[in-house]
Amino acid sequence: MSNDFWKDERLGERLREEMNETLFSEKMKKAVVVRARETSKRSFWTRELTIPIPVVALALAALIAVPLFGWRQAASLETKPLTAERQPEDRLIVSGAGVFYESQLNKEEER
Amino acid sequence: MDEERQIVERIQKGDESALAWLMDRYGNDVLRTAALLLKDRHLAEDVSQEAFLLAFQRVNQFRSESSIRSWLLQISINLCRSRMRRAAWKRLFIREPVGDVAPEPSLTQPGSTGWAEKLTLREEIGKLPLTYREVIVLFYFHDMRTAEIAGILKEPEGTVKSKLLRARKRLKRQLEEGGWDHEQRFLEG
Repeated sequence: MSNDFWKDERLGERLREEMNETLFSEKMKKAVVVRARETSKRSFWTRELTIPIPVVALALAALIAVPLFGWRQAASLETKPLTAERQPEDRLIVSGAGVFYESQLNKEEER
Repeated sequence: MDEERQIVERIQKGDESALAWLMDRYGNDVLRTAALLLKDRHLAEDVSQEAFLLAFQRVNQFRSESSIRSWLLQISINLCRSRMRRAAWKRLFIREPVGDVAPEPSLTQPGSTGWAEKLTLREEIGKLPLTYREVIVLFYFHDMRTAEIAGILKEPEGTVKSKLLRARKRLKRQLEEGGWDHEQRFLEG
């Protein structure tokens, strides 16, 4: 194979010659124009939207932060001991009906 | 360049005649690129039409650092890649039944007119992997420099150079094995 063939112009020329008959026809052009016209008349709901990156980042951050915050809140509630609700000097009273805190029985009496 | 800027501005305003101008000027380039990359005329026609439609719809994404031609070629190469990927997935899941029909024996002998007509550079390029085909088409067919190719393919220039070197070697081997040398002499003589 001659080295001339590998000179850029020769190979390119040969390739361009072979592709000469491949033409972007008028029919194809018309079809593109028709489709372009259709897409520019699209309704609001089928229109393409461009969302800026900062907006996407904010939305993603919110999406991750909200469940995380909720989970932390729930976790902190779970760790609170039930005894925290009663007063420290509250006594336990055992009766036939069950076991009660003294303050609980006092409240019932006041009612 | 000023003319191109005006065309871009007109397309941004939705001017269809500007789109027609774009197709008149670059239609053949885009179609021929797609045909060389996809090896299928009908697919290439679809892709080239889609490329112009996308350019019309996304003209706001055009950056004036590159030429419209480069931008259009970039769009069409990306579309070709996606078509090739789709075709590969299809081949993976939908296996076409293999027929019992044996391939037709070659009736053309090396050196004959029919044989010379059959052996085309385009077909030989079509046998290369897509990644090599891209650089060969941009370098030889579009007469682009490696820096410009790197811009279109979004790859470092060094990568483009090495791909081009490997693609050229492979193409040369293919052409020699296919008797291209003989055919060249036949054509010249």
